[in-house]
Order: sequence, then C-alpha cells, then structure tokens
Amino acid sequence: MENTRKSIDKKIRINGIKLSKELVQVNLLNRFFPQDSKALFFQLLAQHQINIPFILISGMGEKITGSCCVAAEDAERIKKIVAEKPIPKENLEFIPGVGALSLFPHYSNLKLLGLSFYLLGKRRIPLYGMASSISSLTFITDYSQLDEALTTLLEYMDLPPNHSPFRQEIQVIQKKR
Amino acid sequence: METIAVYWEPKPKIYGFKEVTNLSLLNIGIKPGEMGQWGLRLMELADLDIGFHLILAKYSKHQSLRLYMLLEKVVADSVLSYLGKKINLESEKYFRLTSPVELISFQGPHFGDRYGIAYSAFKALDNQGVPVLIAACSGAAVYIVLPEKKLQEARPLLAEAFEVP
Repeated sequence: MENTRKSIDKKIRINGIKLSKELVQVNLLNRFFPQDSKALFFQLLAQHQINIPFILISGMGEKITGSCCVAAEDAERIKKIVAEKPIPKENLEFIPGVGALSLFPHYSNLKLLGLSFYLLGKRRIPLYGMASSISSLTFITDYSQLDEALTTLLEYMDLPPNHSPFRQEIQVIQKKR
Repeated sequence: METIAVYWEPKPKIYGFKEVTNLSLLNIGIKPGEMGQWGLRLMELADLDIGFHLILAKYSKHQSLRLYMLLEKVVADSVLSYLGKKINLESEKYFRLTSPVELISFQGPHFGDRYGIAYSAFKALDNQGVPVLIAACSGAAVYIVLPEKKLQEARPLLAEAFEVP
C-alpha cells in the first residue's frame, strides 16, 4: 500500500468534470418496500413526468433497496404524490441538498475510482451514492460541499489546458403534448 | 431563452443492447470512515490490471456504503486473492460474491433527461418475474445485472419495451 500512496503523487489525467444542479436523494426503504412497490414508485414518477437522472437499485435484500436523485423542485411533488397512493411516505427517506459530480473517462480502470474514494474519504466528504456509466464516474455528495469535493479531486487530477469543470446550466425538460 | 423541440416516438428508442455473461458480482460493505482505505485497495487492484463492467456504491445507512463491483469471472479470483490478504473474507459479514451473473445494458437519446425510462425497463422485467440483482441508471445508460441464465429471458422483454434498431 506504501507504493500506492507514493503513486498518488502522480496526477491522473482526465478529460472532464461535470457538476449537477441541486438534487434531492430519495432512498427506498426495504422494510416497507417489496419488489412490486418499486415498480409502482417509478410508475408514479413517470405518470407525473418526473425525471430521475440517477438511480441505483438492489434486489439483494438490504435495508435500502434503491436510491434515486431528482431535481430539488420535484421532491415536494413526490411527497404529495406518494401521500395519495399506497406507498406511505414513511417508505421513503429524503436526503435534501445533494449534488452529482461526474468525472470522465474512467477507461473501466479502478485507479480513478480508488483515488476519488481515497481523497473524498480523507477529507471526510460524505458520499450518498456512486455509479459508473459508459465513460464517467458519478459521485453523489452534499451540494454545499460540491466545490470542496472538486478542489480536493483537482489536487490530484489534471484537466486538459483551457478546460474548466462544466456546471449544468441548460436543463432539458421532456413534456408530453 | 427557451427552445422547444418536438420529438415523437412510439416507444423509447435505444441504440442496441450490450450483453455480457460469465461475470462475478462482488458486494462489499464499507463502514463509515473506511472509504479512504478502500480507495487505496482499489488503486492497488488497478495496478493488477483489474477492470470492471460496472461499479456502484449504494448508500446503506449511517454513512455506510455497499460497493458492488461487476467483474469478469476469470479475474474475480485475483480480486479475492488480493482482498484475502487484506481482510478476513471468511469472517467478513460485509463481503459477498455472487457468481456467475449476467449484464444487459443500453443507452438512448437524452436518457438522463427524460422521465419514464426506468419505469419502462423495470416494468418489463417485473411483469414477467425476472429478478434484478442490481441496476444503475447514470448518464444516458441503463445497466441491469441479472442472475445466471436470466439474460435470455430479459432481452426479448426489454426489446419489446424499447425500440431497438
């Protein structure tokens, strides 16, 4: 592990970083959430045209069977929607004020993830979820600590010249006509 | 400035399926305060040229995480051998290996910005009782990890739910 600590001194070259707008994480609790309720939950959100940009699901019998992130303005709508349906809101746990930080590319290599875990863990920056995608790694943390997470990671990661982290400004909204 | 684009499709369009079999799913519990240490371990695994098909960490409770690593079955042994030197896998209740497992993944236009994609996928599988071990929707991609031999059941159901080229 000493060699690994030394290799951290070499910066990892990445091609980009993207930061989300403020989100709310919704955790689906297992004690009330049988498998079919999960489908019902996603059905309700689809019916109310609520986008879920980040979802993690596990069918492996844990206390929290799934997590998803929605736009901050959609969280209150979700609370109202589930209150009227057979999903009591006690089945859901809301973590307000989270944000997503995406790094790319990961090249299916564990180095970028390992370094990110090491740095975020060392600075005690909380992590509420993480997933790889085709080329990116997305980390969910406190929205208020997104800039601190970014600064921490950039101490050991190099962006291409003249490239700065991309903050989401354009929002794509899908509506049924 | 608001720009409105009109796009119509009978079913959500995808660019095709990626299917991989003979995989292993490692499930590791990371207790609060251990994330940095696991970061070092993952970097050491990277030095052994261990790659992944999917990796995700799900919030468990009280700041703990469950890390899922989807690996080629043939490299799972190397990972176990490495981890066996660092932690006691026998007594480690936070460690689980599920093998073999299968992966189906797909992506489509603006999937991260559109509602109803996850519902279309999970409804198709739930309705026919196809179990999902883990799934992730991140960016424009959907990843679904299935028990062995379930890929052949899942593919036609998902192909029915989405427009496949």
